[in-house]
Amino acid sequence: MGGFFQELAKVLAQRWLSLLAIPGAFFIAVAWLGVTLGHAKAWDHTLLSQRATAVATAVTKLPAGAQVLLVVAFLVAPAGVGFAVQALAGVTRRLWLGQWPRQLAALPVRRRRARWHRLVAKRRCLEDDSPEPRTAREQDLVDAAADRVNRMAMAEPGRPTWMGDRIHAVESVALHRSGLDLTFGWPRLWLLLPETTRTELSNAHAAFAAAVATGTWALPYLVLAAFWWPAAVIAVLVGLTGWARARAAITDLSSLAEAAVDLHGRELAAALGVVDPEGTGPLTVDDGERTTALMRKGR
Amino acid sequence: MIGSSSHDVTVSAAVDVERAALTSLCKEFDALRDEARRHSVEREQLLDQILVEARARRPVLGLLSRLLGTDGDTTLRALGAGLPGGGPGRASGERFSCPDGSCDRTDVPPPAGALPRCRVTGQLMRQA
Repeated sequence: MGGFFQELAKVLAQRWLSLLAIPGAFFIAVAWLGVTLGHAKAWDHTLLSQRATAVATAVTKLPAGAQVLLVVAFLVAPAGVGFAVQALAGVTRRLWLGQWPRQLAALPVRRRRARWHRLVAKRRCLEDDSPEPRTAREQDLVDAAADRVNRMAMAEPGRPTWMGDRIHAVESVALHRSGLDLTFGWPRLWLLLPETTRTELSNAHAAFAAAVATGTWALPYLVLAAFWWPAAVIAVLVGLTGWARARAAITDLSSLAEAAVDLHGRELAAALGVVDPEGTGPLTVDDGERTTALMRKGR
Repeated sequence: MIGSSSHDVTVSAAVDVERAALTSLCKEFDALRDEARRHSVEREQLLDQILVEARARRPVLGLLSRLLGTDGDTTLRALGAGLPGGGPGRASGERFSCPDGSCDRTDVPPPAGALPRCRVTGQLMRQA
């Protein structure tokens, strides 16, 4: 256990450094730069050099105690800024996962749904034009059309964002194909999953959380851009990095979650006594719906 | 004695990892070759070098790490997750018919959509 806690402490320290302290220190440096230079003299090296020299001179003239306090403040401030920014991570998460107010989400959801159905219709046209058995080229065209549908959303869209729809698809597929309502089913399924499956899911979720944390750093840079426009470029770069990583992580997470439902959904139904634990075959929609009814308890 | 046994375990674990890497390489060589071709000549040459080492039954995990741009621990996972499954796959068509064959209605639900039901009996339609 001692080794475990040492390892955990090491991981937490690394996370603290990479997600809070280092970005926090970088932001403080950029903020000082931005406030010092402003829009008008955004790239004035001479002014920057003069101000830096003036600050350094002022610091050297401070009494020793004040200098020590200043060093402590420089060590603590980045983490403080980091904590403050990470308090906003929930906003980024909700934004990316499409958990928007209903009125705001309605139009983009309608548009995404219409676009998805247009892509499905194109696929159906291709399938109808080239019934099986198909030539390799015909099959390639059908495969590519199906891929365009899946790349947009793995099931009929229900959220205003791509990432939101990846999660929505897991819930939708579980409900429509296995009869399981994951709002109530997921915690119970989680308790039944083998340790290796839970570890894979946790890793994918941790990768998503880290990407959200990265993307959230775009927000303070956007605020800073009001004083120093180059901060807007940093905001875009940081935001895009986090967003791209989050998309990759959510792909893994949603694929693993759907796989977990496919592989272990029957165990959940068996654990609740709906199906025979010795039975085989996929979980039927009817059995899944009975399992859901037991979990929802009329709610 | 204990030191020797622990050394044996370490050697055995390393052999297992190399064996798993070789298995993955063998299974997914075609996909790996296609992917390497899309990147650069250097990457293709590196794959050739891996092939030479694998044929000589020498360790390949380190070279695979370089090829995939991962560390040794994640190379095996990347082999299993990164390349295969990256393409569009084969489109899966679904068509459903009357649950007991009493009528000629067929239905094609949207991909991953709700399974159609017979509107007369309420039963789920049967996959044709």
